Amino acid sequence: MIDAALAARAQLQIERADEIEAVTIEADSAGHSDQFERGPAKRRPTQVVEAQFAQPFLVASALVHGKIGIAAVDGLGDAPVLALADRIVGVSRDGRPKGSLSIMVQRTDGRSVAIEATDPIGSPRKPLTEAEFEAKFRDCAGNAVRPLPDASVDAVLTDIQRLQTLPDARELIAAFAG
Amino acid sequence: MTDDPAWALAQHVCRTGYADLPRSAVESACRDILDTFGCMLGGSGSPGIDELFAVISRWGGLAESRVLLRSLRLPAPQAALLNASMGHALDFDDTLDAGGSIHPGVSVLGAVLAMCDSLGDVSGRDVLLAVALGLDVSCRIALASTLDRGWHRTSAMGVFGATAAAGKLLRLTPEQMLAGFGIAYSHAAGNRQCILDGALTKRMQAGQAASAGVFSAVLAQTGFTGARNIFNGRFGFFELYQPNGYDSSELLRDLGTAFRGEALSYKPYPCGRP
Repeated sequence: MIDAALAARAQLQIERADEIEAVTIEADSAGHSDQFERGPAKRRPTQVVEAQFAQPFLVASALVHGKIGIAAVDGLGDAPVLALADRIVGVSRDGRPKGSLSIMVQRTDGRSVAIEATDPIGSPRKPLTEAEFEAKFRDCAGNAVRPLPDASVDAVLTDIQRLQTLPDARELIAAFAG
Repeated sequence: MTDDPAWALAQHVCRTGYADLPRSAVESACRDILDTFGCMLGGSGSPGIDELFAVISRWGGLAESRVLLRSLRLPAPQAALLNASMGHALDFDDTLDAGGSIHPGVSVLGAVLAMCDSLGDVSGRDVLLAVALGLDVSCRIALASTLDRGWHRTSAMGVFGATAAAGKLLRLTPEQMLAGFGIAYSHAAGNRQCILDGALTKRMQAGQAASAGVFSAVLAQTGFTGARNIFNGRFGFFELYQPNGYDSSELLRDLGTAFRGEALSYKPYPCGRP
């Protein structure tokens, strides 16, 4: 669903939250119930584990900021994200295949787009590129408990790529052991 | 020994060598290590990790295995618990979409990193092989569990993959590996109520699987025994954990030629897929 929300944002050239008039998420009855009939935490999570599974919150975050980052989820949302999450409408549609979803986004200028969620990016049919894997790794390293020198991150990336010839696997953790 | 599929899995893990891995399995294991290691770094400061570290490090113990980004060595099971908990904290780690969204990488790599420090003489190829086999075992159990019973598969099923990986590095015999799986079955736990309630036990459960995997493999090496009819026994995994919701043939389908870790997805966003 995040992929579909980001695609809708791009297609409608949305740059600010106040350009969004309406957002509707359509799901099968069970999927709808899970996200729209379980109380306010799906729109305004108060703990990080709630946030990680809160569809309206995550979709709002993607639409407002154009990405879902580690800090955005851990931070439980800023005011524009939470305001949009409150306005997202959930619709249950009989006959929808179990687990299927679609999103409709309408701009304030009247333009709108509806996108069906398909295979998520990163699945075997839409694999991440090598560059995307490395970018994800560096993003994770940048959010570590303490700052990590670029040289250490570069070193472990190299070690992982040459695992087939690495004589001592303890090198993997050497740069991050203390 | 037993006609339980656990015996075939144990023999598969023990008898598969690096040269037996198809290139695609090596590549997928390498990809999983890259992604999972990154998630461990990214989750190293996440909520709950400080608390886990404080409790576990207070007890101390054998200075054996390193904890990522903490200046301390701990007994291998405890180091595995902490590193794997970090890896699952962001919910950014690998996922088997067709297998009920198990995240097998964190318990496998958590166990492997701890065993590397514990054993010392472990090459990169040993790690790739152990990870490929560990992912294969966890994914097969997830695929065989065809009904969602609310288990947190990452822990309740991932413990078997972690045991396979740790046992491979320990060079267990097939009989010992079967015992390891039996001991792991005694540890198999973890539920998704924590997701519904927004609880930090979700990340801890992944660590618990990694820790139990190390413990199960090391204990099995001593000759300690576990259940043998692990999956199909009267009180086996399928009857107790997956009543009316399993296909045991999935455990062994194409065993040795298909490595199920190749089917894993890697997330571009640090969250579930609601």
